[in-house]
Amino acid sequence: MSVNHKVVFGIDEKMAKEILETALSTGGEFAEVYMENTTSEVFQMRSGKLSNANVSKVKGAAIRIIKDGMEVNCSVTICTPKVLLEKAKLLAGSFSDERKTEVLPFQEKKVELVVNPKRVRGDDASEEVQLLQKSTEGAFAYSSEIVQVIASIVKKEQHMFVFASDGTWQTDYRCNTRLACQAVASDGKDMQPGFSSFGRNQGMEMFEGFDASDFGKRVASDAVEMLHAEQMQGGEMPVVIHNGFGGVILHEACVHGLEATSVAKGMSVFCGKLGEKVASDIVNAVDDGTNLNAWGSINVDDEGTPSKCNVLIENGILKSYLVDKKNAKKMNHPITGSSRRESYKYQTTSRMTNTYFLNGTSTFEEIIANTEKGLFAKEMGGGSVNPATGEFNFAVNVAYLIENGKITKPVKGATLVGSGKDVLLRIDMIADNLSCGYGMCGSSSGSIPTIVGQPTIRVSHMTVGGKGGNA
Amino acid sequence: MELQKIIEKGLALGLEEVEVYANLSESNTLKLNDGALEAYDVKSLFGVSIRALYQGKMGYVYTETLEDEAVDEILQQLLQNIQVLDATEPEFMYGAGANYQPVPPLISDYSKYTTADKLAMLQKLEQDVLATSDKIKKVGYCQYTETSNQTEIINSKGLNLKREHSYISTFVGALASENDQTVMGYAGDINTSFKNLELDRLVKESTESALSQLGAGFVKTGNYPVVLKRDVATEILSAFSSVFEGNAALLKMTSLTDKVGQKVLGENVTIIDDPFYDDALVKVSFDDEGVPCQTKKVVDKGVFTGFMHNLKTANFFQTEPTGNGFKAGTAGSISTSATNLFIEEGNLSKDEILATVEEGIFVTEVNGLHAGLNPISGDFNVQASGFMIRNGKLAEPITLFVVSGNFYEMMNQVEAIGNDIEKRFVGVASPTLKIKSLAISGK
Repeated sequence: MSVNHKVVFGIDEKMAKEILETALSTGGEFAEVYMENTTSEVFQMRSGKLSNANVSKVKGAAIRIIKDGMEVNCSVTICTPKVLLEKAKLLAGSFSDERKTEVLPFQEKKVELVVNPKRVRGDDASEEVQLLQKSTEGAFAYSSEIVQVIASIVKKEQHMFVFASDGTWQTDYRCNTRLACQAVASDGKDMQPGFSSFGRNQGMEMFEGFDASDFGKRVASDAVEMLHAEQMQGGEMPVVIHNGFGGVILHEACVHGLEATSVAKGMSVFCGKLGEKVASDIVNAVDDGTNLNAWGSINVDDEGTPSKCNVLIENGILKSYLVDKKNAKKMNHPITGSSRRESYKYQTTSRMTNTYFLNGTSTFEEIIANTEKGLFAKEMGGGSVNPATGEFNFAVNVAYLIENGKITKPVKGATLVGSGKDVLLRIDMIADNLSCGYGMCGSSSGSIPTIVGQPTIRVSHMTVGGKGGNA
Repeated sequence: MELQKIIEKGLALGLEEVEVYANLSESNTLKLNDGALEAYDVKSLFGVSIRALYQGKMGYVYTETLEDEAVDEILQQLLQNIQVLDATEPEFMYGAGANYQPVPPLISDYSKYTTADKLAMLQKLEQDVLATSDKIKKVGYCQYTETSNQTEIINSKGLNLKREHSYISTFVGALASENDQTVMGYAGDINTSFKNLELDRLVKESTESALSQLGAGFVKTGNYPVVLKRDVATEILSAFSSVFEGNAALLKMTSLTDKVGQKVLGENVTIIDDPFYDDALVKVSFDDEGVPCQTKKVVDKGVFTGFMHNLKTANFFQTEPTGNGFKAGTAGSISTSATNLFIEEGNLSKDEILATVEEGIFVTEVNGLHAGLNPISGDFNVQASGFMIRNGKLAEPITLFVVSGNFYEMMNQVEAIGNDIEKRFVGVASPTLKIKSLAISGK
């Protein structure tokens, strides 16, 4: 679906050219205007009752000029052509050079649509409400120990328009829908939450064939299982990280350190490592923004560049960083079509889309059978990393011990920590069961939907935190 | 459009009560890299949250466009959405006429200085950090932000309140490296006076932090006495502060619901929420619903005295609102939150506390609190770095270990409380804490 920029944003080519020419009047090398008109809806059900149905409308623009590696930006809610001209002039006042760059003729690129939502909402709210009800009922029905269920559907529908002095003239339409469910289990003494989510770049058609009741049940079963689990005993050991959201290890331990935001400033442990071995030979990883209607996919990025599949690691060798227009020049690296921002309130920069390890040649069963003693991290939680030092952490939401090649008892409270440059080299087995999880990634340009994914992998040894086994 | 007109339009549509919460936020940020300005960012952001009561139910919408048509459309949507909602707990709006304790304004003088002054300040800050040691290879972050915020809350019951503040935040990150090891040390300052920015402290704290981590090794897994640096104790208190909130009680997301009046923490622990606290940067006289803020001991000598409430949660639990009805961001719904929440100081300095530890761990940084904790059970497992303590003194730096514990158990095992709460803290603060024992996972 294309966006009529004249109707939605009130800007024609003549006005656009005038704004950019004003911005470049003092020697700027590149000028860009990003505009958006976004509607978000949240439906939340608590213990079977619809408690929230909120709508938010966000509309605004950001204008930026780049010169000699410096970026000046202005984000404004009021974004009439007059205000944009004023702000272009204000920002141009940051420089005092002669005009160097002409605005190239605008040309909208033909883009193959990888995000193509069909039915943004149900005919009335009942379709959404029914999904929440089924998830809630599924969770409560699983066990009498479930004391609370909070289910929500969040939708974000975004019309975006970007034009720039390099001839960029691009509109895009995005529609993210995410169902999430949190259940709390209690035995009267302890309380334990469980959580899961399912998201796509689609409308309500994504729920065709989706079993919401089973979705709620799985969340409840995780909460109950962990309620009765023993505390993990910490130490260093082999860790088997399961497929799906387990891919958060790639996301945190490595790919944040491949984003130009860190690399261009020399603030990543992966600086200067292109073409070098950064992972064990069996590791292949991609960031692919083109998976059809996937949660992290985009037709074009927020600079108007079509998304693509970027091979990051091939047979253990680092092949690419994630790079936006500003940093491409500085890093002498191709643009990767993954410059993203939560909204006009944030400055766009290199981010992830759908990021995952590719399948290996082992099977899940072989990996478990080959592990004498270790941790099986079945469902991962969130994590964080400092790209400059490479040190990362993440929580394990559902975990089991592996003893003598078998998965034995459940354990709770496990946290994994390590250093990104070590952990990739220690991956010694990869299964053939690639699947994906649905995350929201927070960084300097805000919170954006990303897929983390992987087949089951084994890390030969890692530090696992936990408080069990102590007097 | 005048905000009052939104209320009139809403009432005309049949909504029973209408409230408008408007926020204008303006900021300028300068980021320095290698001596030159790398980014200059200007923001002027405006948003309006509208909520309304209809048939005993409360609905919320948010818009950034106040043109007639857009307002009509969003009000229509508000009415439709409320009709879909199920009736849950009774909802309320606050009227005019309350007595508000006045607070000193938080107004910065930054507009008296030029961009060149601010750039020069950052350049000096960066040079001073680099000059500290050959091992400081780079200043990873060197940035300055000035922010002004104006909030207006009006409703159909006659409430009409305004709040305004402006301040400066400065942040620096020093990167040190030696023998293939890279570490970062951070420091920040929030201030109102440009001339009195604590630049020397930023240089000292960021570089000392980075340099002291060089050569960090690993710690052996086990249980140790632990001293939490005040920043770390503050982060942990902040991460668990929701357990004392009425909204968490309503959602059954806290285990304290049936423990009001009971001893839940050690008797040496008192936790206070004080909207007027002298040492806090921000003082507030009313919450986001217009209810007067008040000082209270949330935990008094270990005894949990009661939740921090908004109008809805107070009514649900049949008690009085405490002026803690706040929202996260303009677009959010009213929830509950502390104003200035802190652990009451003890009488020992940090060094006096360290001197009581024969062998233990001083935790100076934690990461991953957003994921590695369970606010319901109180369990936490977080990545940490710090130092060994030997014979009462800081010894070798240690990194990449996990500190595990339970908030309630930990706060029942506090053996010493420092006298060193940060001045001009924002939101939450703790002094240095010594904990009898926590589980440490390392090598």
